[in-house]
Amino acid sequence: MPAAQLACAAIEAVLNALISFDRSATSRGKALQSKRVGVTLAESPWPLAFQFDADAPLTVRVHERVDDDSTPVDCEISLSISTLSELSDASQITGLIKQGRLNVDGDIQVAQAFSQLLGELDIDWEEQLASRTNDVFAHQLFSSVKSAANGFSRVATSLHNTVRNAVLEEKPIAAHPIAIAHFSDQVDALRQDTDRLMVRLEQLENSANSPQGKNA
Amino acid sequence: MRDDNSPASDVSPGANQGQQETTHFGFKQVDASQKASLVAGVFDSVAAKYDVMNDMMSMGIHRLWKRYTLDCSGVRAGQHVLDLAGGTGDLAAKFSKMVGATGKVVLADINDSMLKVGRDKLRDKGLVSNLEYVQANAEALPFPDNSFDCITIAFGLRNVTDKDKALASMFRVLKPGGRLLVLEFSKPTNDTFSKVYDWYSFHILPKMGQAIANDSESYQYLAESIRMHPDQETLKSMMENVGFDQVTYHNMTGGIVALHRGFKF
Repeated sequence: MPAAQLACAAIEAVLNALISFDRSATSRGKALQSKRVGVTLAESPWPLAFQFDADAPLTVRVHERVDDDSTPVDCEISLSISTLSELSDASQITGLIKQGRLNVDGDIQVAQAFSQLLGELDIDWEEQLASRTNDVFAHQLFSSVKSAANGFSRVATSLHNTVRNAVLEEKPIAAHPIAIAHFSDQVDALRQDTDRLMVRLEQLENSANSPQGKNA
Repeated sequence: MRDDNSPASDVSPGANQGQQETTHFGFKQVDASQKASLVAGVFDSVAAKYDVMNDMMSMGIHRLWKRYTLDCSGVRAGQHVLDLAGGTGDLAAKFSKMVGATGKVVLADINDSMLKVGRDKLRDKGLVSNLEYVQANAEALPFPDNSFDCITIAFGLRNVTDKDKALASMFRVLKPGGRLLVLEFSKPTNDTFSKVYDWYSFHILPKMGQAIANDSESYQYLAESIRMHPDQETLKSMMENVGFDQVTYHNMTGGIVALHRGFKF
């Protein structure tokens, strides 16, 4: 089975669906219309190309760049999967390039527009669900999920506080943060004292070994 | 029955003078002049259910084979593309977006029923501005020399009566620097896999055709025509013989399908 084509088809379907869910994506992605972005992931054997269509609404075709594909790209991006998540913040691009974790050839504005499009996707999932089911069901489901998430968060915070009190106050089996900080300060002071002593000893040794010292 | 590795030409002269030339139609030998109408009968019968059957028979993998063909096409905005035997327009739809408003895609098929299904499907998708439809015989393409930047023929060449003539005709209408892509069923590279594939083709496929399209004979022909089609190396030689340069092929799904690519320089 052509695995690269399967991966491209999946990426294309997901990306186009996400873009279509965000009403402002087409206006935000105007700079990408008719642009072709080459993406090479260090961990992937297939260099990909993202070809944005000229017409609105914004759609993208994702395909593998085969060996003799000489179609020029507006921007070529090379990075690793670990850097992908950081691309969502366009202001980080320059920093990533300086660190050598991202390589961009061509029009940097296209790279930024590509990064912004993906990073700033604003999707109202409740509305998407409502369009496929109905408003009441979607609202109730999302309200339930939100209250369950809040409840889970409250339980997690409460559990954390209980365990913290138990191990620090009731059954002091763990050191209090203030005690740890005090201990760290003391260790630092001791390290500085020993360093000073080492330097003093070296000075004394040097003066004892020097001819003047021997004569004295 | 013709062996897969038999000489490339499909059309055999009659044994005695005065006899008509014959060719294969599935495993049968028929008059060469009859094959086009017999093939037309098959596709008239399956046109309406063609897309559904393709998905069922290949379990959807035909979409990935076609995707790879698009990836290898190198088609850019403004170019002219001929999608021969384009059937229901899967490739033409994608090419239409790739060439944009300044380019042109010609969807050609010898079969009127298939062309109508393809035209309706593409119009329903809103693809109208850069698409043209031509009912054409691949052996005698009605286009001027050096007209297209890229020609594709997907799952169509095996139905052509005289493949050499068709390849020569494609070479003629291709621009210098242009490429031909032939996506076609081929010969599996693994013997065990080949036996499983044969069993599937001759036992399951016609039954699926009967169940879904109420037509087992057409799908029996499909299985037979695949076996009669030249293997990878033979088709490569055929393309080189008519003038194509740098001919290569890429096997997909164990050689069930191969994509041949040749350039005109």
